[in-house]
Order: sequence, then C-alpha cells, then structure tokens
Amino acid sequence: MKTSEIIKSSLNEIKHHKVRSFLSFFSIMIGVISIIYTLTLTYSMSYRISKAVEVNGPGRINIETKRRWDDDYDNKSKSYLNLYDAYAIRKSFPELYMVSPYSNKWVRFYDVQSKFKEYVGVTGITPEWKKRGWIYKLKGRFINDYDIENKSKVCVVIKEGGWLKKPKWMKFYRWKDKFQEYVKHNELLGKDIYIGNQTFKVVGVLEEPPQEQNPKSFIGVGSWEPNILMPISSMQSFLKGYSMNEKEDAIDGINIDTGQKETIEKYKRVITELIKSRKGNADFINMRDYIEVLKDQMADKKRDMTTVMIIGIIAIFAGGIGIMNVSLAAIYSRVKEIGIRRALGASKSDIMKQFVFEAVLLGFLGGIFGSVLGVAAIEYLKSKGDTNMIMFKWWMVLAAIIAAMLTGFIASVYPAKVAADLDPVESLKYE
Amino acid sequence: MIKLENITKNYRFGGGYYQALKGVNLEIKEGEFICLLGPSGCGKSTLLNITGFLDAPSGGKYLFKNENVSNFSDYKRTVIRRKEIGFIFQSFNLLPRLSALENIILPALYLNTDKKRAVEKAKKLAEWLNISEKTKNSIIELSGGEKQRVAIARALINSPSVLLADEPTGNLDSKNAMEVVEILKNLNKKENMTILMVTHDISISKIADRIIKIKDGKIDENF
Repeated sequence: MKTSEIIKSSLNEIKHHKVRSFLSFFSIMIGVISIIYTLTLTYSMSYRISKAVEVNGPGRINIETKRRWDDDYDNKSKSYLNLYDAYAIRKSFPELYMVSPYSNKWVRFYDVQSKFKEYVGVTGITPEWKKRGWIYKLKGRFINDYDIENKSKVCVVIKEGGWLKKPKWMKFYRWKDKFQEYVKHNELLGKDIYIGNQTFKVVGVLEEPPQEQNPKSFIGVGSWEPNILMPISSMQSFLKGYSMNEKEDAIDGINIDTGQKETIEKYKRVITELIKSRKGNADFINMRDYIEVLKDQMADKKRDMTTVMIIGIIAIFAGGIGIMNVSLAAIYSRVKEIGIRRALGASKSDIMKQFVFEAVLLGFLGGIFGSVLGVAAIEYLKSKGDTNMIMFKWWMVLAAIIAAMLTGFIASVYPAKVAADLDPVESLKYE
Repeated sequence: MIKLENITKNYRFGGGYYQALKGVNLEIKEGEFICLLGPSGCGKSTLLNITGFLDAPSGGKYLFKNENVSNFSDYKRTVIRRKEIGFIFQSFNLLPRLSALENIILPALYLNTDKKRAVEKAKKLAEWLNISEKTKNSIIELSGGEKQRVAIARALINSPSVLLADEPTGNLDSKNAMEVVEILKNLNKKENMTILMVTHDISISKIADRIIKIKDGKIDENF
C-alpha cells in the first residue's frame, strides 16, 4: 500500500478517536514544550560559556588576596598582593598574553559645572587591561604606560550602549543608573571632574555596544562593573582610604591570560611558586581559572535546566506510554479489521506500517501543537526579559518534533508487531 | 488449477491437538464452480482458508497453478492471495469507517494499483452490480444485499483467478440470496471464474458444477 494511503487511513483513525488521540498528543505536547525550552537554555549556556571564554581569553587565571569573608582566610596573615607582584609576574613570564593588576573602589564623583554628585565604581588598571574583554568604541585615548609611571590624574569613563529596541519589560523597570543618565546627557571628554577629593581629566570615553550586541550582557559573569577606569598607580596615590584593603599599596587582584587553555595548570603552579618566593607563602591568595569561575556561576542555571529536562523527559515518556497504551487498546478494538485487511491482501508489514504511522502521526501532530505553544512561551519569556530565550533557534523546533515522532515510533513498534502477528483466520472470527 | 493432496490441519487445543482436516484430496479445474457442503464444525471453512492462502496446511501438498505452495511463507502466501484470490464472507466483513467505494478499492491499494485506475474499475463493477448510486455511501447506510454486492465488487477488483465464498447468502433474505447466487452463476458462466463456495443450504448448492460434502474433516466419498 502506498504511504499516502496509509497516512490518509491513519488520519482517519486519529480523527475517529478524538479523545484518545487528544490525550496522547497532549502529553507529547508538554514534552515538546520542555524540550524546546531546555534546548534553548542549553544552547544559551554553551554559547555564553564559549563567548565568555572568547572575550575573556582562553587561558584566563584570576588571583586575588583572600578577604575576611573567604572560608580559609587566615587572621594572622599579613601578606597581600601589590603592584610589584604583578610586575614580577610580567617580568618572570614575558610570554604571558596578559598580566593585568586591578583595584576596585567605590568613590564619590562630583562635577562642579553641573553639580552632579554620585558614588561610582572606579577600577585602577594598567594598559594591559584592554587586552581582553575589549568590546568598546573608544573616543579620545586609553590609559597608557606614561600615565602609570607618572601617576597621571586622568581617567576613562565607560558609557553604556543602551538598547537598539528597548524590551517591553524595561518600560516597567523604574530603576535608572543616575551616573549613566548623567554620562548620556553630558559631554565628558576633556572635562575635569572630581573623583574622591581630587580632580581628574577625562581623557577617553569607552562606549559599550548596544545591549543586544553586547556579549557581556549575556555572559553575565563578574559582579563588579566599573563606571570609571584610571591608572592603578594614580588610584593608589590619590584615592587612599576608599579601599577594602587596609594596606595602601595593596591591589585587589591580578587577571592573567596565558594565551592557551592547556597552559593554565602550569602557570598556576609557577606563579604560586613565584609568589611564595616573594612573600614566604602563598596561602593568602585565591587562584582560580576562569572555567571554574564560569562553572560556579552557571551551576544554578544548570540545576534549573536539569529540572526542566527531567520534566520534559517524563512528559514525553508518559506520552510514549500513552501512545503505546492507545495503540494496544486500538489493536483489541480492531482485531476484526486486521483480519479483514489481511484477507484482502495486506501483508504483516502493511499492518505494522499502519499502526506505526498512526503513532508517528500522533507524535508529529503533538510535536506541531507543542512547538506552537513552546515558541509562544519563549516569545513571552523573551518579552519579560529572559535573555536566555534570545538564543532560541528554529532547528530546536525541528529537533523537538523529531523527538516527538521518534517517541511515537518507538512506542508503537511493539503494539504494531502484536497487530501484525495476529492470526488472520482467528482475527476474522473475532467479534 | 488447484490440487490438494492429503491436506491436514491441526490446531493446538488445550494440551494436545485438534485435527480439523484429516487428509483432504481435492482437484479444482479452471472455470469450475464447486460447492462445499457440510454441517458446522466439519472443516469446510478451514479448507476454504487453506485454499485461499489465509492459513497454511499442517501437512500434505498444495499445488496452485502447478506450483507447490504448501510451504510458502506468510509473505508469499499474502502476495499470492492478493493477486489470485477474491474472498466473500457471510458477514460481509466491510470496513465501517470507509465508504462503499473505498471498501471496493482496498485490495487494489494493497496490490499497489494506481488509485485512479482502481476507482474506474470499482465504478464499472458497481454499475454491473447495480450499486452505482451507493458508492459514496457509508457502509452503515447500506442494506444487507447492497453490502454483499459491495463485498463481491471488492473481491473482483484485482481480477482474481479464484473466488472463495464462505456462506455468502447466510445473512441475506431469500430474494437477496437468490440475487447473489445469480451474480456468482453469471461470473462463473460468462467470465469463466473459478468459484469455491461454502454453504449448508442444499438448494443453493445445486447451481454448482460439483458438490463436495465434508464430514469430520474429510471429504465424504459416499455423497
């Protein structure tokens, strides 16, 4: 029998048993929705991780002096990282792609002209900072070696990129970053401003790309987002007393990129040795590679994803059992029909095909309806600001429909075999 | 055309076997009309099913068109049944969810005949059997006589060489029964169709060229 005829006959059967058909494709539908959601989430996470690694460097290591709230903080330890440790690492290992010391401070910003006052995040850096994570458009100039050596009183302001098309949820989101509002409406390049109680000249403005195109907005790693960058040496000289570290020459940490993922372990070891030789021990530092940091940050999402995935698998499994049940029930209500068809020339495989096609078609229809609802749900979540949902791709719908059809197929093979193996003579006698 | 030699058929029954056919010898020539007569349970339907490749014999030799088909696999029996055999049943055995026309063309679809050609042929058969106006109807809307005509058209759609009828008049009133008998007679005389019909109605069996009585799974030679 031609496939088109089998499909026609299958559709006829599905139509005839509306409630039975609806129930099995309802659970398939739920399965499909969760498959699409999980795929979107998985894809989004792997994209974020790869993008984060791409932007931040493949061989990224972060070294920080332990804080009082760290688990293994030693009260008696008097050691801390300073700028010279960073210089020593740079000097000992010139082959490292980046050695970028940093210090973060929360400082009062004041513009005499506009009378604008606000506390802002300031990060002290060296020119190496721009070697990784550079997504900006620079107006003016960046901080250079001269600024570091001479403790120049200069700074660079970071300006957010805004939205190309503002998402709906932003309209109800009342909180506004006052500093960013100020940056947006004032030309700061070349201006003298107060940071702490010192004047600094704005020598550059770093413009972020729009939110939709900003890898940082969907990488979402690292909680400190500075508004202003300045030479780390100038920060140490002119912004005393704003630091979390009690020592004035202390720095918060050093970001290193070895250039390659494979060399991370080696440099973690040799840098620890170097610090040990300089300070007598290395117990006062936390050294983590970026993949670990990412993994920590992604752990929560992974748990959510696993939950959804399990629900999806259960739903689609239930759908499969439903189909199997419906198919088996159908066989017993159609024994006579099977006998008649066999008498009229249907082979075992014709009978098998008919039952399998019916189930695959149920899976397909459940898949289509599930996909429509799934895509609608994703669009809704997207409009509510779930950035993971931006990563939705149409191939996911295809994958979910294939999974649904496959479920129908697997669930129907056994019942179809039972139907095909019925004795035609006995089946014809069945009433 | 058909030669059965010492055909036996055993069925598993409880712990042992029940022998439905106990060595049947029968030869049917092309164009012959044969009636199988006998009480219920004597094995005539079993013989019909084996002849029509619905069932396989447990022993003996079955020659169909000079080919030994006794040990054919299920698939081979299906293929030969599709092409060569037309079945007519007492209870019509039409599929209720299909229209009359869809029922008629069903065997042609299993033979992979082009659907258009099958429909054309079905319409001709329907015209010949006086059910042209009923082809679009659902099976439930047809009378007993009409149902059996649809079943006859279905049996003839693949132009089989043998027509097997299992009590085709059993569910019909006398008028419709006579009409069906007339149709079968016509098919045999005008189209030279080989027919094997099971019945227990002696009056109907008189239209056959030969009457064979089955008794306890054997041919009653004394009849």
